[in-house]
Amino acid sequence: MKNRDNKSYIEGLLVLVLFGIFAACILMVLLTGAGAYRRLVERQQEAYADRTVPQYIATKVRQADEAGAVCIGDFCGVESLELRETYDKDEYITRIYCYDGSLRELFSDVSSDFKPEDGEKILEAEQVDFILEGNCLQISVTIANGEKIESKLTLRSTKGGTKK
Amino acid sequence: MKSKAPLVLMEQLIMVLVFALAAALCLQTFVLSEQISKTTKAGNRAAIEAQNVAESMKASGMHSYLQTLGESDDSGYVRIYYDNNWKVTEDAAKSAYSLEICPKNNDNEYLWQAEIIVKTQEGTELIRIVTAGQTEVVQDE
Repeated sequence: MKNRDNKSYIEGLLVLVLFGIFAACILMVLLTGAGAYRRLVERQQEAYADRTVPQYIATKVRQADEAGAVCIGDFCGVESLELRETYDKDEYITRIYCYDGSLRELFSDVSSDFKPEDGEKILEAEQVDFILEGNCLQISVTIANGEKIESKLTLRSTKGGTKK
Repeated sequence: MKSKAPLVLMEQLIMVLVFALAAALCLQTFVLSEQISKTTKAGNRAAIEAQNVAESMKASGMHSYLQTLGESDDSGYVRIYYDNNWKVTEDAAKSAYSLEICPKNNDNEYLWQAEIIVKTQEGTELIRIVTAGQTEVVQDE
């Protein structure tokens, strides 16, 4: 009678242990899945920032690539890429710069009195630096996670610009 | 009264076996997704580096740019090596990626053409682009 009780007790314990292992395995697979998904999303976001910020600036430069239209200037103490255009004999300027954790763009009349905080937020970026050497424009972007991406552009127009 | 424990044990064993099968498939998918994601990110970065080299070649001319990079190998190719964080490194053995600039023969003497290939250390090709530009003209004084 005692033997049968013991056997029954061991069998019950085995079932319980097996169930415990089963639950632990489920938890492990779920955690692995969640971890893999998190890393996937992080990498996707980084890749998005890696490519979008330099590509956005490159597209804007390509659109405005005329002789003397592209230059680097100082916008109230913030380094900015200046793209100049003329409409009906009036000169307009598109400023691209980084301010308060965002890449911003401001399109205005040359004589307008705007401040860096007035620019339209485009994308998240910690810092953007521009270097114009001859007809080669170097764009250095530091994205939110601190990663630094350097991108180079050759201005097709002659006399691309000068540093003010 | 007969114990129901063996029956429950059998049931649970089958459940664990089915679960193990499903979990193995799931884990395989997770690993595959990690690999694809890593390759895609490296591919994105390779595209930026290849584009930068192409733009530099257009800015200063292919021959001038290749001279700044140094010696080419026997096949005339010039290589730039990158570490895991895409920083340029001189040590080819410790590099994770390599960028090859392969100048192409061109019938037109006023144009240059080159192929830029970015590969992993294992030799997997990440990106291959062809770039071309005008040959630098040396003006007579």
